[in-house]
Amino acid sequence: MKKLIILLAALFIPLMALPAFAAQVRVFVADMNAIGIPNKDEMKTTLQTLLAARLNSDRIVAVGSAGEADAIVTGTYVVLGKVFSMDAMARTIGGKTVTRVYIQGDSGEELIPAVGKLAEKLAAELDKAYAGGQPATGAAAASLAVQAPLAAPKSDFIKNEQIRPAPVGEFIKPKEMEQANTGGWLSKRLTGAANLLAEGARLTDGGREIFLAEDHRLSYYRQAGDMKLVAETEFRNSEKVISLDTIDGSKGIEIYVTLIRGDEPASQVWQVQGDKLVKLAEDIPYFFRAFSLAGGPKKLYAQAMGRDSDFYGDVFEATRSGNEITLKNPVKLPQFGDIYTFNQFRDQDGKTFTVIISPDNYLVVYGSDRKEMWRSNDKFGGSELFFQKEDTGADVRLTGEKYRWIFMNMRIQVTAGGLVLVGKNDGFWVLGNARSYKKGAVYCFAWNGSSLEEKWRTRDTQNYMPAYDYDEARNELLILQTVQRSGISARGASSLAIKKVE
Amino acid sequence: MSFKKRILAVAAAGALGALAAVPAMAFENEFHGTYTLKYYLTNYEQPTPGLINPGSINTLPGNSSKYAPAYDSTQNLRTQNYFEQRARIFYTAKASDDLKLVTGFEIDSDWGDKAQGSLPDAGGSASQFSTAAFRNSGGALEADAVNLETKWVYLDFKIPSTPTRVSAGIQAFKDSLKGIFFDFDAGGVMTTTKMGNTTVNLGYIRGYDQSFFAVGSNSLPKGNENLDIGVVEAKVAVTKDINVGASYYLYSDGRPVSYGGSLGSATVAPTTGSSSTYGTAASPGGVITDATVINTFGLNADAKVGLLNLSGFVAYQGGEIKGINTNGIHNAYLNAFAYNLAAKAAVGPGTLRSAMLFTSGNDNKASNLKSAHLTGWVGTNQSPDAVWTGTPGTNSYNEGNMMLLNRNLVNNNTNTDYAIVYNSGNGTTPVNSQGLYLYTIGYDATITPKLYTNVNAGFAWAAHTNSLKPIDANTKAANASNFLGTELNIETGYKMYDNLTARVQAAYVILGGYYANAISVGGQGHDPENPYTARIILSYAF
Repeated sequence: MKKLIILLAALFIPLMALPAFAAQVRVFVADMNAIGIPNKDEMKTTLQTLLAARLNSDRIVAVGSAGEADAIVTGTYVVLGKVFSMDAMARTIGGKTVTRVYIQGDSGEELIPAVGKLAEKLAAELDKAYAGGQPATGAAAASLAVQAPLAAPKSDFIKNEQIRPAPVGEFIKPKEMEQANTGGWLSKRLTGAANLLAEGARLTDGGREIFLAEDHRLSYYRQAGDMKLVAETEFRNSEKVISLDTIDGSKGIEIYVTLIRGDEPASQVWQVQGDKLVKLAEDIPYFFRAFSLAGGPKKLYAQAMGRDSDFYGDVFEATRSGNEITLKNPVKLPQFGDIYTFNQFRDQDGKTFTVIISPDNYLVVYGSDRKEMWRSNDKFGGSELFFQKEDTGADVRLTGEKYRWIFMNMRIQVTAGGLVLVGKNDGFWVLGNARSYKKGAVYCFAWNGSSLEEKWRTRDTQNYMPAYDYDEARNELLILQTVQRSGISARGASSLAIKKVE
Repeated sequence: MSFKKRILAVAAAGALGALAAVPAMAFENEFHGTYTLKYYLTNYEQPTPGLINPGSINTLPGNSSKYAPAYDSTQNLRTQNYFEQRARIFYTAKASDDLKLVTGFEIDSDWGDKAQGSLPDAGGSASQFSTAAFRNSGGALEADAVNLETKWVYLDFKIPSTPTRVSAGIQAFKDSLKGIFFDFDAGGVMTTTKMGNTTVNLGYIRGYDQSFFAVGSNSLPKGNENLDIGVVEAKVAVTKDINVGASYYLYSDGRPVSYGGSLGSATVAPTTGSSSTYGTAASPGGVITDATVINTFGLNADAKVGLLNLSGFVAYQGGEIKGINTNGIHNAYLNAFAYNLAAKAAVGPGTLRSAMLFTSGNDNKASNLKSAHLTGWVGTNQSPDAVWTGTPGTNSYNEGNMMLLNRNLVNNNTNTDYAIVYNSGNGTTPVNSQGLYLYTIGYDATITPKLYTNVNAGFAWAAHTNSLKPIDANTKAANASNFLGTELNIETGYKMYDNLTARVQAAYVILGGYYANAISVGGQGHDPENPYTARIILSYAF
C-alpha cells in the first residue's frame, strides 16, 4: 500500500509542478506602429522581431500567434526630430490592459539597447502581473476570451486580408467596451439628426467634449460613460450649419460654425465658458475647416465663396481677431477640390500629394503639379448635407428650381503616419439631388507609391453616417449615425459610436 | 467572303470591341428630374404661351355665347380652373469628368386634354391633327399619348491639354443680361475657357434655317437663309466679392422675316409681302423685311458690398432691319438701351430684394412705320418659317418674382406662360417695342425650417407710347398714363421633404391708367378686369 501511495505521489508531484510550468507567460508581440520615420513598414517588422526576441526568457515565452498567447503586446515607436520614444502595452487576450511601459532615447543609435530595456521593463511588469499564474484582473474573463475572439473575430475593422493577412487579435475589442455586436462605445439615442461632429477638449475624467450640429442647432455634450447634453444653441431658420470645426484658441477651444445665410457664408465662432456656449464672432464670410493638412498639426483653414462660384480661389490658413480673418499660406487645389473635399499626404520620400473626393465621389490623387495620378474604382464619401445658392443660369428655366444644390461631402483625414481616412455612405436611393443613404463605413488607405491601398475599414453602420472623426491621439474613431431622420415636426435622432483603432 | 466584306466585318468587330471597352472608362449615369403639378384658378391665363392684354376685346375662351354676351370683354371674366403637370428628366452619360453626353426630356399634359390620338394616315385631313394626342397632351381618359419631348441633346467635353470646355448640340443658352435678350434651348456650340479668374465664352447658335420651311419651287439650299446668333462673353472674378463681365451678341437673320401679327386693338394690317420663300400656305402678314442684324453689347457686374448683394447690367443694341419697305422706308436702324440694377440683403429671418429694369421703347407701329430710327429694345422671339410670332417668347426676366406682370420663367415654368409684359421690349415685334420700367420689391422669409413665404410687389410702366396702348373708349384717344399696373403676390411653400415642396401662389394685378376705359361696352368705356391667379403646386425635384 505504501508503495502504491509513493507511486501515486510520484505521479502527482510532476502534475503539481505543471502549474509552475504553466506560469511561464506566453506573449505575442503584435504589430508595432512607427510614426515619423520614412521606412515604416520595414521598421514595424524589425521592432516586432527585436522586442519578441528580447522578451523571451525563462519566465516569458514569445509565441508566434495571438492564439497561443496569454498576453498581446502592441506598441508605438515615435520619432520627433532626433529624439525617439517607444511604448508598449500588454493586454490580456480579452483586451484588458495588463501594463504599459515606455522608454525614450536621443538618437537612432540607442534604439536597439532601448528595445532591450523596454523588454526588461515589460517582462518585469508581466512577471508581477502573472505571478499568480493569471493577471490579477479577470482571470475568468480572460480564459473565456481566449476562444471567443479567435473563433469569431468580430472586429469592427476589416482588413484587406487577401493582400495582407491581418494577425488575429490585431483588432480585438476591449471586452468592457463591447456593446452588442458593434463593438466599442455606443451612445444612447441623441435627440436631433445631427449632420456634423467635432471634438473639443479632453476632460480630466478621461472623457471628451463633443459638439454636434443639426441644420439649425449646435449642441454641446460631455462624453465619458455616457453623453450628457450640457448646452445648445439654435440658429435662425434662414441659417444652415454646413460645417463644424474646433481649434485651440488663445482662451481654449473655439468652435467654428460655418453657416449659410441668404446664399452667403455667415459663419460664427463659439466657445464653451463654464457650462454655456458663448458666441465670440459672427457674420464671417468664409467657409472654415480645422484639420491636419498632410497629417501635420491641426490648423484652421478658410476659403471664400465667389459671386457665381461656390468656392472661390485658394484655401488659406486662417487666423481670427474678433470678426476679422487674416489669410496666409495659400494651398492651391486641383480641379474639383475645395476646402471640404481635399487633404494632402506625403510619401516616404517626402513628396506631397493631394487627395480629393471628386464630384462623382471617386477618390482622386494628384501630384504636386496638380496632375491626376490615381483614381479609385470605388466611390467614397456621400453626404445628405447641402446648401443652396440662387441659380441665375440657363438651367433654372428647365429645372424650375430657383436654387441649385451644393452637396457637402465626407472629410478626408490624414494621420501623422500618412494614412488616409475617408468615410463612405451607401444608399438605396441616391438619384440626383434626392439622397437617402442607409449605411456607412470608414476606410483607411496607405499610399503604396502608385495607388491608395486599403489597410482596413470599419464594419458598415446600420444607418446613414453623416460624419466621422478620427482621434489620433487616442486611436479612436468617432462615428456619428443618423438613427432617425428629421421629419415635418420631429428633429430626428442620432447616435455616436466610438471604436478603438489599433 | 470578298475582301471588302472581310474589311467590313473586321471594322464592325473593331467597333464592337471599342464599345465593349467603354465600361473601363468608369461610365457614370447621372439622373436629375423635376415634376410639377399645378392647379390654377385664374381669369386670364391659359395652358399655353400668351400675352395678358386686358386692353383688348380679346379672344379668351370665355368670350362665347355660352358663357358671356357677344360683346364680352375682359370685364367679368369667368374664373377658369385647370390642372397641368410637367415632368422633366435629365440623363447624363458621363464617360469622365471631361466627357459627357447630356440629354433632357419633357412630358407635359393638362388634365382632361387629349388622349390616345394617332396621326392620320397619308391623305388624312389636316384637322385630324388637332384631335390627336401629341405634344403637351395625354391627360385625358386612358392617357396613352405620344408626348415625350426632347429638350437637350449635347456633348460636353474638355479639349485635352487646354482650359477649354465645349458643349455642342441642342442645349440651353441664356445671355448675361438676365435673359432679356435670349433665354432658350437651341442647337449650337459653346466654348468656355477658364484662365485664372477670367472666363471667356464663345458660341454659335443656329436658330432657324429657312430651307427647312421653304418647299417645292421655293426650296432653298441649306444654310443660306438662316437666323444665326453669335456669342462672345468675358467675365472676370476680380475678387471674391466682385465679378465684372462684358458681352457681345450678334443676331443675324438672313431670312425675309415678317414682323407681323396682331395685338388686340393695335391690329397690324398686313402689307404686301415681296418674298416667295415662305413655306406656309397663306402669305404671312405684317412688315416683311429682307434681313435683320442686331448687335447687342452689354456690361454686367455682380458685387457684394457689406451685407448687400448688387447685380446689374447696361446694354446697347444697334442694328438694321433691311428692306422694311413701309412708308417709303427701305432700311430701319435700331438704337436701343436697357439697364438693370438689383439688390438683395439678408435681413431678419429672410432676404430683402429689390430690382429695377429699364428697356427703351419707340413710338413706331409695325403697320405704319414713321421713322427709320427704331429705339425699342428687342428681345428674341420664335420666328419659325420667317414669321415673328410674338409668342412663345425666348427671353425672360426672373428678377422680382413676378407672376403676371412680366415673363418670369421661375414661376411660369409649365405650359401656362402668360404675362402682361410678355417680351422684354414690351411689344410684339422688333418694331413696336414700348419699352418698360419695372420696379420690384420683395421679401423671402424662412418661417420654420420647413415653411417659407415670400411676398412681392411690382410696378410696371410702358417706357414709350405707341399704337399698342389701348384707346379710352370714352375719349377715343390713348390714355396719358403709361402705368401698366401693380402686382402684389405671395408664395408660401411647405417642404414636406427636401425634394418635395407644396406651394400656394397667389397674385393680383391692379391695372394702371394705361388701361383706363379700354373696354367699350355699349359705347361706354369700362376698365378691364384686373388679372389674378391662384395656384396650388406640388413640385418634386431631384
